[in-house]
Amino acid sequence: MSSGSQNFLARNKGMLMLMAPIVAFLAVFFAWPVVLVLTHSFDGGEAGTFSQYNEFFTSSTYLRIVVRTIWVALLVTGLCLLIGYPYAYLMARTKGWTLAILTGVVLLSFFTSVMVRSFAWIVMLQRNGIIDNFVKWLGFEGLVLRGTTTGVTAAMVQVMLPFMILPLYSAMAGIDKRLERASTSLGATKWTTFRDIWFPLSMPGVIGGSVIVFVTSLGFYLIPGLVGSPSNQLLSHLIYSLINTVLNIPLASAASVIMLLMALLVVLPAMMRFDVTGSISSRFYSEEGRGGRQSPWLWIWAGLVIALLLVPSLVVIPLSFPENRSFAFPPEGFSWRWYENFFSSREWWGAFITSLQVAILVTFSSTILSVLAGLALRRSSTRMRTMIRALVLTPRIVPGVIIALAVYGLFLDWRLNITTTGFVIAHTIMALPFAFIPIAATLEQFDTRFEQAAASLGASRLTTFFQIILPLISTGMMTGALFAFVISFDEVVVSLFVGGVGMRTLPVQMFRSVANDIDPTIAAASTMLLLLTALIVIASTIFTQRRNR
Amino acid sequence: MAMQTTRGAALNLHDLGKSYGGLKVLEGVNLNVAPGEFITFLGPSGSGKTTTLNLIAGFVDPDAGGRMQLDGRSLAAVPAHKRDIGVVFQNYALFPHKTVRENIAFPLKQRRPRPDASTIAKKVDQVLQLVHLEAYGDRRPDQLSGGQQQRVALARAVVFEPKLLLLDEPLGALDKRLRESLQLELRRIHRELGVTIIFVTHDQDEALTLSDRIVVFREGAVEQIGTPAQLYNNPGSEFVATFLGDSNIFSGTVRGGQFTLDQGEVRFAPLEGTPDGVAKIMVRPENVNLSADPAAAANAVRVTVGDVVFSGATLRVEGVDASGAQLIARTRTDGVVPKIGDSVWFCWDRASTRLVASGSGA
Repeated sequence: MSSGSQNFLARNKGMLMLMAPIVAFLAVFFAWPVVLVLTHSFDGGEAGTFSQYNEFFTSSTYLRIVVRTIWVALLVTGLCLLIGYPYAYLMARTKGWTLAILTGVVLLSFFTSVMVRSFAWIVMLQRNGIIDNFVKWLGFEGLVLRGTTTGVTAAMVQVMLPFMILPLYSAMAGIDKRLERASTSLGATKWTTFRDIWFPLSMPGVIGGSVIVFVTSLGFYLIPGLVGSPSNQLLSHLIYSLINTVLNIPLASAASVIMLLMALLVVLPAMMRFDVTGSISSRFYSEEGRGGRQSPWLWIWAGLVIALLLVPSLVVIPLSFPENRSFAFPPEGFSWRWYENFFSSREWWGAFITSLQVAILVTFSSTILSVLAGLALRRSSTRMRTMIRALVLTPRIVPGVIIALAVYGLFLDWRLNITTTGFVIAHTIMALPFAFIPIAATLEQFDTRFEQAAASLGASRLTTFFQIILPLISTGMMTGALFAFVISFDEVVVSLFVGGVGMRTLPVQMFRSVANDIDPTIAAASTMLLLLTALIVIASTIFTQRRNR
Repeated sequence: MAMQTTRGAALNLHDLGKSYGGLKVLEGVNLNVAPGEFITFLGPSGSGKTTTLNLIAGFVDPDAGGRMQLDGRSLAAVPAHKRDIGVVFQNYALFPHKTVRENIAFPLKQRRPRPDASTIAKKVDQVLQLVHLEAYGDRRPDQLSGGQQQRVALARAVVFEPKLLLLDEPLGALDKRLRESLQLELRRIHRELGVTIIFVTHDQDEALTLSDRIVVFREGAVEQIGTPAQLYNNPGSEFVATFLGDSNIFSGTVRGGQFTLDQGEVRFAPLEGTPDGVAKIMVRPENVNLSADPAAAANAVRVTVGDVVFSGATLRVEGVDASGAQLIARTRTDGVVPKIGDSVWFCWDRASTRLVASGSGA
C-alpha cells in the first residue's frame, strides 16, 4: 500500500469508523444479495449465458408488459406533475396556518399506509364498488375499473402524489423572494416572471419529484398486483409471479435486471445535472413562507387535490361497520364485530404486534446508523459526501421487488426468513434512505464552532456529542426516526417474501386478506390506522405551529 | 472583585506552519508571549491570524516541525479539550439550547474532579457580575442582544480560570459605540484577571488601543512584532506603515545618502547611512505642516489641494504632488485653511521621515 493511502487512512480514521457500520450493513445485506440476484439472470445452463434474456425478448407477451410498464410509469409521473405543480406553487406562496394545513394534508396522505389506500381503491373500483354503483345509480351501465390500466393508473397517481408535491414544494420554498420582486421591478409581467424565473428555479424539484415517482412506479407491486389483473400485468407483477407461481428464478432475475436498467437510465442522467438526492429530502417544517392573494383558480385546484388525497382513504371507515361479511356500499346494518375480531383474532392482533416490534427496532437501527453516517459526512470531502449519499440512497431507487427477491435469497442461506431479525434487517434497508436524509441534513447544517467551543471549554468528544450535538439535532433526528417507523410499519413487498405462516406483519395480513377473502376486519384495521396517522399528523402540525410563533 | 486573580501563562510558538494539501497557509511563526501580556494578531483576512489561533486552541494540528509550549509544557499531544485555554468565537458559538447560566456552567461541569453544585453556582454568579449580566442568567442566547451575547461568550471562556484566553474577532459583529465600550471592558477584565490574552482582529484601531504588543500577519507569515508605538512610529515595511494608520509614501532613489524623486518640486533632508538604490520613505499626516514658503523646512513637497475635510480637532488636507501621488496632511484647525485647487507646500522636519524600504529589493 502506498504511503499516500496510509496517510488517508490515518487522517480519516474517525470518519471511517463512523461510516463503517452503515457501509458494512448495506454491503452485506443489500449490495451483495442484489448483485447475486442479477448474476442469476445469466444461469442459462446448456442454453447459454444469455438464454434468459433471449427468452424474454423474443416473447411478445413479455415485451408488451415492458412497454405497458414504461407507459404507466410515464403516465403516472406526468399526471402527478400536472396535478401537483399548482398545489406546490400555492403551498410556496402561503404561510402560517394555511401553509400548515396544505402541508398537513400532503403529509397525512404520505403517511397513510399504502395498504390502506390500496384497499380503499379496490373497494371503489371493483364490481358493485362505489364508482360502479354510483354510475348505475345515475342510470348508466356501470363502470368496473378494477383490472383495467385506467384504474391502476388512477390509484397509483393518488398514492404517488405526495412524493411529487414534497420535492416540488421544497425547491419552490427555497426560491429567494427578492428575485420575483426584482423581476417585476425590471418590467416583467407575472407570466414572464413565472416562465423565466420561477419555473427554471423550481426545476430541481420537478426533476427530483419526477425521478422518484417514475422509479417507484416502475417497480411498484402493490397497486398493480391488487387493482390490476393478469391480462394487463406490469413488470413487477410478472417478476413476482415468476418467482412465486412459476418458480423460474433465472427468468425473474433477467426481468429484474431489465427493470433496474430502466430505472438507472432515468436516475443517472438526472443525477448528473441536478442534486436529486437533495431535493428528495424535502423540507417538511418550512421556514417563513410567502403571503399575498392568490388566484381563486389555484384555490379551487388545491381543493380538488385535497379531495383526491383524502377522500379515497375515507371510504374504509363506513366499510368497517357492516353486520355481514361484505364490502357492499353503502354498507348494511351496524356492528363493532370487526373491531372485536381484530383484537381477538390471533392472526390480526399477532400481525399488529409483530409490526409494532419490528418497526420500533427498525427505528432504532436506522436512526443510529444514520446519525453515525451523518457525523462521518461532516468530516469528509465533497466527493466522499456524494459517495456516502449515493450509497445510502440507492435502496430508494432499486425497485422493491428486486430487493425482496435478493434479501429472500440471502436469508434462505442464513436462515433468517420468518424471524424478527430478518424483518428488522430487511426493513432497515428500506427505511435507511428516509431516515438518513433529514438526519444528515441537520448534521450538515450544524455549526462546527459549537464543537470547537465545547472542546475549548473542556468537554470530551463523548460529552460534546451527548450534551451539545444531540440536543441540537433532535428535530432532524426525530423526523428521521418517524420516517423509519412509518416505512417499516407500512412495508409490504419485502415482508411478503421474508415473512411466512406464523410470522406476518400487519400490512401482509391485510394483503392476504384482500387477496383471499372478504373480511371487513381489514376495514376496521384500516380505519384505526387512518385515525392514528391523522392524530399524529394533526398533533405534530399544531406543535410546529405553536412553536413557530 | 471577588473573583480569584489567576496569573497568565507564557506561550511560546516555534516555527509554526500549516498547509492543506500542497497549499501553505501559514509558515515560520515564532512568538514568545509573556505571562499576562495582551497580544493582538492583526492582518487582513486570509493572512494566517485565525489559523494560528486555531493551532494554539488545538482545533487544527500544525505541520510537523512546529512546536508550541504553554508555561513550558509542550502542547503537541494535548487534545483541545485538555488544553485549558479559553476561546471566544467570532459569532460567539453560544449553545442555543442552554440558558446563559447553563452555558457558563458548562465548562465548570467538565472539570475533574467536578466541582459541587454550590461552587458552580457561586462561580457563575461571580462571572455574571464581572460582565454585568446578573439579571440575564435565565435567558436563552437568542433572547439577548449582540453585545450581551458577546459578554456571555466572554464569561463562559473565563469562568474556568484559563491562563490563556483567545479571542477571534469577538467585536466584529457589533456597532462602533458598543465595540468601544466592550474594548474598555475587555481591558478592565484583563487587568482584573491577569490572564494572558491573544486577540485576533483586522481592525487597526482596536489593535492600537488594546494591545501590549501587536503581531502583524501578512500572507501566512509574521511581518512584524512590536508595541503599538513601535509599529506606528517605526514600521518595518510599507505594508505595516499603510496597514496601521494613514501614511504618505514616497518612492524614489537614494544616491550618496540623498533621497530624490524623479519629478516635482521637492526637497528632502539627507538620509545618512542609507545604501544607494531605490527606496521608499514615509511620513505620517499629523507630522506634516502646511506652508506657503518651504524655505525653513527640512522636507517639502509641492502639492495641489484636492480636498479639505474639517473634523473638529483636526483639518485633513488631501493633495496630489507632481507625480500624481495622493498625499495627506492632518493639521490644527486654527491655522491657514487652504482652498481646493490651491498650490501649497507639505513640510515636515527631519525626525519625522521614516525609511520603510531600501536597497535593490525595494
